Amino acid sequence: MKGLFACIRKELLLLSRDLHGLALLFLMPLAFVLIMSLALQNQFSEHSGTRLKVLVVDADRSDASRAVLATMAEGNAFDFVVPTHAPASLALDEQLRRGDYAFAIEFVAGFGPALLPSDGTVVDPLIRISVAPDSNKQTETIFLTTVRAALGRERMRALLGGLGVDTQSANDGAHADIGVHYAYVGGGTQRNPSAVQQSVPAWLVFGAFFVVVPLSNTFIRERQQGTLRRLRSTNLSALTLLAGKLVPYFGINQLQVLLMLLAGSYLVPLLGGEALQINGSIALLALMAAAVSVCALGFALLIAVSSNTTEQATLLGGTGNIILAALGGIMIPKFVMPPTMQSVAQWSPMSWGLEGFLDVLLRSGTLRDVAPKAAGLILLGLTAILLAWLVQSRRTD
Amino acid sequence: MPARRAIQHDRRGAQSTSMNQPALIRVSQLRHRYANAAVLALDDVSLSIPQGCNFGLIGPNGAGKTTLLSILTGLQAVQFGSVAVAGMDVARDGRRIKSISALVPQDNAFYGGLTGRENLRFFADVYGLTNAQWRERLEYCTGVCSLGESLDKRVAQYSGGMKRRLNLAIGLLNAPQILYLDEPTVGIDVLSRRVIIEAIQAMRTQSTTVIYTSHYLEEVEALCDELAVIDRGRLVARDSTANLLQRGSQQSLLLSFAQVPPPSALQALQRWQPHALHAQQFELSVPQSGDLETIMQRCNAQQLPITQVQFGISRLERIYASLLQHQTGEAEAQP
Repeated sequence: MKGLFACIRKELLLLSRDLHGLALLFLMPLAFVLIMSLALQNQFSEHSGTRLKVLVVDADRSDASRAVLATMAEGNAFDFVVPTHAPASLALDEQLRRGDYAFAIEFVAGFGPALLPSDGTVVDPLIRISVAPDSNKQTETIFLTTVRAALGRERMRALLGGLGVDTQSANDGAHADIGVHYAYVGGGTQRNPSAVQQSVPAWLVFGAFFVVVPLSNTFIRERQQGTLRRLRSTNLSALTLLAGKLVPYFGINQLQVLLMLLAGSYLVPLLGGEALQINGSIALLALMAAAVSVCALGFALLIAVSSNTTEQATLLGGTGNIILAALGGIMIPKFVMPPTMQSVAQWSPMSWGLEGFLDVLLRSGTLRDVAPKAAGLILLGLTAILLAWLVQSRRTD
Repeated sequence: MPARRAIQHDRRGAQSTSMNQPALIRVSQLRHRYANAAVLALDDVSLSIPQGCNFGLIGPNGAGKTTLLSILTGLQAVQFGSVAVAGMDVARDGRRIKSISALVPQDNAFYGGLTGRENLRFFADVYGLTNAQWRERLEYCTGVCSLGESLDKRVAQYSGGMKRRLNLAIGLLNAPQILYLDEPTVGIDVLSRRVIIEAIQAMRTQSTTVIYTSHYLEEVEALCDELAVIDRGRLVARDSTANLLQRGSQQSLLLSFAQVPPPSALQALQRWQPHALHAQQFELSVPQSGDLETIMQRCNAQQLPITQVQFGISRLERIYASLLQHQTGEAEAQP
């Protein structure tokens, strides 16, 4: 045991003095968590974010035009700007070209009475829409649908009002017509996932796998400098030597997980993002953290014994990590991948790690949800360790 | 010259003592082949090493020295033959053998990111020293290797010589009965080399058996009581250093001239096979001391002014070279 503790202490001392290694293990994933959580929060957030701006020119200034505008604004998809003075047609186009607005919507004079004409009055068109040149077709379709829906609703209200129906209660009821349900594992909360809940597990898994660089480097340096040879000439067993390397880095992985969770919970909100919500069980989180670590350590050992130089290991480990991350939905969320790539992604252990953490953090998953991913990671990690052992025993240096 | 004689005399005295000691290490018909290698790394090597002696293991690069050390230290398994250390079989009693020995590898085998003290503490813990033993050994090792002032500096800041001294100090931590030194003085300054050599000499007083490999043959000659020369995996010679030197010295005449001798002058000495060591220094093979007068007369006749004459004193370097040449000749003569 004395030998094991000596190895662990030595490894931690060496790492504590390796600024590059520390930065790679702690600062790099922390930076990713902060940057991605803040940068992507609008993609995930329900109520905040940069909405496309729409310039409103209301030449009618009627209750009907104001009601349509209010209905469109309820959708929270667009930010409607009503200037004090309506711009001239040329100025409006210029503002769209400059990118000040994505769209301009103009309620023509006579919009209100023409909405439900009783005297055969025809105003064509009722609403004019101008589109910025850089607007994409998908956004344009969404905007037009929003306008048509609001217009139809206002027309319906006017019609029902004319028939003596209480349009206010009908309007209120419309909000309950559609209930949104998120298909979380375990049937948990209906809360929308925040950017931080997506980013923390993703970059946490990525960071954990980056132990491959310092761990393989320390292993190779010991081999190159003859230290391994010296240690093997003592009574330190091969298992102690191996444990002396793996135990400290396993601890470091757990510390990474803790720090990333704390950063998501406390640091991201300080910087204006949403706080990380830990919905699931802490024990399952610990299980996933341990499973990811075992897999990462196995990968690191395999790289260490297959490389002859630290440069080779850094290149192989770093590139391997980036490929696994890109495949596993760390860098590019799996849901934006085409189906073929999504099926390929399932083969990346980082994907298992990420999905396992998402099960716990986001979907209030149970052991049944998490166990297959954790077992896969542990099995792969142990296989890699075994393989590394075999490769090392065949090496003559 | 008298100083050299004195060293040799002392060594011979020590040699006779170590020859009387029982064998601590016995290697019998040892053969070793690395995976996918065409030739044997060790080919039928048998030797014994007495307890308490400084034993030199010399040979060219790739001769098999490191393989032999690896087997003795338990880093490589015995494939064919047998190796016994302190009466124990290396295959069966590896742990006990390791506990009484230490290896100082050719490389600086420690951690540059730690201080000297932290490195020593780490290896002391690996050796399983108690706190009291650690304090006692730290004092001894740092003293004998002159490391005291630099102990708390990061090793990465050490000079090459200090690193070598730390390398040795780590090997002394567990007070080994057998110390394996694999080229411990490569690439260091004179001062550090002296410290290391003195530290190795100090081992003698503690009855430590030192197995020493080096390409610095002067060092080997000065330090080692007994020698084994190994080449292409085969044992070429195994004797006491004194005997080997005597064997070579009997026929050796070293002549230094005031100027570079012309070929015609050397032709006159052809009978004694002059071998140029430098442009003005030649070694002649003189089987009979009676030839000395004839040689001097011929030099005079050729008007070759002699500045120095040495007879009956040989250097390990020359003996080693001739042993290897002989071995190469035999190998080439084989079909």
